[in-house]
Amino acid sequence: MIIENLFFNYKDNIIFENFNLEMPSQSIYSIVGSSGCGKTTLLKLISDVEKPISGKIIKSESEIGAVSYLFQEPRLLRSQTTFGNLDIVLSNSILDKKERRDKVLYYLERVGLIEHRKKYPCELSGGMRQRAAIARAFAYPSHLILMDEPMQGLDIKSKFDVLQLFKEMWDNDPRTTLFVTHDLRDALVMGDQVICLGNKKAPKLIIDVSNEKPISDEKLGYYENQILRTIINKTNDI
Amino acid sequence: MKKNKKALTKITIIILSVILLLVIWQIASKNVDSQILLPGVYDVIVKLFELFFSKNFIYDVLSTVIRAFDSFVIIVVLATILGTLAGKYRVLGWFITPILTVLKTTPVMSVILLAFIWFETGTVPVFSAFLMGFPIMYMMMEGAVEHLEVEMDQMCYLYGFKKSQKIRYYIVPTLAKSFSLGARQTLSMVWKVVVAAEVLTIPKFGVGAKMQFAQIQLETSEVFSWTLIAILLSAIGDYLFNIIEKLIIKISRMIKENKAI
Repeated sequence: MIIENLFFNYKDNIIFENFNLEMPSQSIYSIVGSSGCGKTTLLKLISDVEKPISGKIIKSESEIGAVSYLFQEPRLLRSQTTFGNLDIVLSNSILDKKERRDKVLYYLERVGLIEHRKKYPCELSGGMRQRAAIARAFAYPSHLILMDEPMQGLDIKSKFDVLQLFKEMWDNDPRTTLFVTHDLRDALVMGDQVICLGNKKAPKLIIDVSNEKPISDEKLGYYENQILRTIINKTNDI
Repeated sequence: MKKNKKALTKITIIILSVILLLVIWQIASKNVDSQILLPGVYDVIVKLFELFFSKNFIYDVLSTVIRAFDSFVIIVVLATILGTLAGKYRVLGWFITPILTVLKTTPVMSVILLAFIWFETGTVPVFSAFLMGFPIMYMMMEGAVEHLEVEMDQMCYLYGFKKSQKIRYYIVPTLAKSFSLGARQTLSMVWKVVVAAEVLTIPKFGVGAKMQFAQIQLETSEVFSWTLIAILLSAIGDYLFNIIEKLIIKISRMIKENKAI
């Protein structure tokens, strides 16, 4: 995906000004940065929820089309069972009911919710709901996964489980993924590249850790420090 | 087991509360010692049974029920459509606001008296109940549509929901709660206004009309009996509403859960 001369603002607040970024496909990009630097906006622009004022987002052939979005909250349909939530997003692409059902059950099995398929979102724990949202994201026939701090509000154990699960499912079915997070450790563990936003024109820092997986504690600490300094500098500038 | 115990406790407390009310009523009646001012519980119950078996009882009750039902259906249909549209299209909402303010602030009696000038007696209760009940349902639906979450809207968009799917799986279930609450409140308002309008306009048949006749003849126990009948009608309406609502929820849950087997 190539982002070219992107310009976007909310009234007087310019978020991107001739912003450029290149992200080769089928990798995970962790997006970090201070609040208001445009992390979520970038996801909204990529997913077409927001339209750029000017500039282009050129997606590669494998990224064109539907987008799976993991939100801060699971955003499941409250009136539908766990099964129903997945079934609905597949109903337009898989018309055969049996085939669709098998696919839904496959993904529910993968996220460990097969026993809870008849339950409604309100009957699930926060971690289970987020797992259902992950199942929906992977079940949905998309080429791009956008994650907007999906671990927010989860306890440490649920967060670890959800991240682990996501990684497993991603390894099985890799798609270009943008992962917005405030947790630098998650960003480094999950991402092939960590992109630190903060400048309107280009990322402040890009760290490639794709060749360092599994990343050692020592390296993790080093990179964490580096990213933190970059983000704090931005605060100091203000 | 725990649920049954809770239900039993609830029923016991309600029965105790009713008994307490009846005891207070009976004591007050004994103290006042005047059938015209405050008849006793026994007298009212005897009168109630007399009314049950009287010649035109069924016509009186049915007339009131039909008027309330007509008004309720018209309100629910019209207010749901207009409220939903007004919630979505603000221009329509702004246009309806002055009319709504007038309806909300006009005293019930003024509406009934004016309607009595304009319409024939049988139509007045329906018209008055419509004017009084409409704002409740309308505001409930308008508010519900206004509070539909942008976030869920985005989810539907990103996961490729068709318009019909979005309406069926997200909008209708989300609005259902407000619809049910609005309809319930409307129904309760409709009963009150229909009976009040019947008292003032005295149609040939109707609970309110009979209440008025009884009052003129100083038959206080009969006024009490008709009042109890009006309360009973409202309670039955509420009960039926509950049953229908539960049935719809149960059937819809069964369909969804069967799909997941």
